[in-house]
Amino acid sequence: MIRNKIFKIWICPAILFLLTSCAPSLFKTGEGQFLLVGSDIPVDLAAQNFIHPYKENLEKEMNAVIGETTEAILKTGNGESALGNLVADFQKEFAEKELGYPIDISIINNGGIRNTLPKGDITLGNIYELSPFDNYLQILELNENDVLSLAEFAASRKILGISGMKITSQGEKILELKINGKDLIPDKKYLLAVNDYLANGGDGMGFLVEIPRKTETDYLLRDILIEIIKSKTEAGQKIEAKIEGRQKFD
Amino acid sequence: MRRRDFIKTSLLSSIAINYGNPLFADDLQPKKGKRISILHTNDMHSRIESFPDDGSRWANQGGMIRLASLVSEIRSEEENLLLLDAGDVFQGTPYFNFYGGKLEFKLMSQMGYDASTIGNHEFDNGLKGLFDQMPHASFPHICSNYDFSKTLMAGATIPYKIFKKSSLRIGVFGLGIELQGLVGKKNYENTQYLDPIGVAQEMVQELKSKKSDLIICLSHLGYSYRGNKIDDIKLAAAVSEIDLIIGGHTHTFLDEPTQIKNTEGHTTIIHQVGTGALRLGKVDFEFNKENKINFANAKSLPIY
Repeated sequence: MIRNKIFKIWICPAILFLLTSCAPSLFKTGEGQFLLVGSDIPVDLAAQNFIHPYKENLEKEMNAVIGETTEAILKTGNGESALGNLVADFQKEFAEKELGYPIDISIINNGGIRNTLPKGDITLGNIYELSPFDNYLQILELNENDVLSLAEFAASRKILGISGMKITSQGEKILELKINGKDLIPDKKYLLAVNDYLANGGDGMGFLVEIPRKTETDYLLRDILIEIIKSKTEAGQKIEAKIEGRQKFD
Repeated sequence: MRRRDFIKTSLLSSIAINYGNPLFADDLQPKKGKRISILHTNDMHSRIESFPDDGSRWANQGGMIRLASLVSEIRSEEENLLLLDAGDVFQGTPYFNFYGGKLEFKLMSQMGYDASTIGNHEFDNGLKGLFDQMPHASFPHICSNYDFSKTLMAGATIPYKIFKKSSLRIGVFGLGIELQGLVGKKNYENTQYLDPIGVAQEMVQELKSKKSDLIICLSHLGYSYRGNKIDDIKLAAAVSEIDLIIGGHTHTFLDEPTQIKNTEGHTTIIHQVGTGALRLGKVDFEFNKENKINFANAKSLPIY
């Protein structure tokens, strides 16, 4: 290792050198500047005062209503949940609209959804709570086997919200798999909308890492949700989602 | 010729403690060399306040308004200091979504940042979104390998700067990551990305010819990738004479800096301090009479 090499070569000259030239400043550095700053370190008052009006205004903005649900949209379920379906659907809808080509499958890790949507008003703050992580949309190019791996992963781990794919399984065995109502076609490429966390192997999805990327976007999942909710609200629609039997596990 | 030799922080600390007695110290005082402390951040990602108090890993830690206290504390102790940032100041909290980066740049100006560079997230609101925030930064944005000349950002950044501290000349240049495939074309428009290695070689030559005693690269390339994609490790190996690479983009928490010795025998220090202003990097260089680097000492200071 490079560092060890330097270490070895210079250990003697270094000690001599320190004793003859640099010890006072080192002593100060060691004693004074490597102190850990405890949780009681005060925030800088001038900085805090400076941000105060912006912070107050921001809190007001977070209470702004951007949409309305008909019922609370929850995360409960066995793999499939109403909220997982909603987020996966919105991610797919956004990707198709912004990128301009059809997306076959869209997935979201349930663990990445950090809060539920209440019945009635959806505030901007709700979406920031639901999606606090800065995850970006990526589009991956799956082959037939990759789609099968994905379905098997969904069936065994039961941690995904899915749009565009319907899975019926018994234990680890996939009994039925439909992509937008159709059977898997050999040699067809399937486009998967997914966040960068999963695409990079998060939540045990290591098999996604080596799959070719069609595009890695800078669209944040949170902004995707906000935009789709706002557009539906403008079109006079309410936000609703339910468990529909997209993932049937026995 | 071997000009710069770096040794490990832990070695320095232990020696300082073991041998730092007054008898020695008195003898040594007159020979003390010139010293500069480089403080640095990267990927602060609009973390104005600490991470929220929600029981998560970084609850109540980090954030620019805490960083500000730490910086002023160190300023009161260090005579010669540069405060630098390696990009991705923007994006990550609602402060950015609502105010577009104004608070970030203003707070950095108030903290006395000497320079930053352009990270990929600086493009999140398009070139105009970045351009409009530039007046809020009292410090330069140093970026050597984005050619903005065919965009409205023309002239808004500089390729390098030489800072003069005491009689030391510290040359700083900046490298940005490839934008294609990472940032939407509509956000970077006609910005031309230039090869980081070629540009770095030019910059080092330029900064040397202008008698820089220390050469620092603000890099938003990322710490390390498998494959051929350029990163800080590959940069240090390929381009000689960079003393310090202040890294970013990969949100790497290096508890101690990496040292890369290239084939010409030059050693480059690479440091990167995660994200969210959770840590402040500190790399100290000390020089002898001829402004040759005697040693470098580096540490990240957690902001809890």
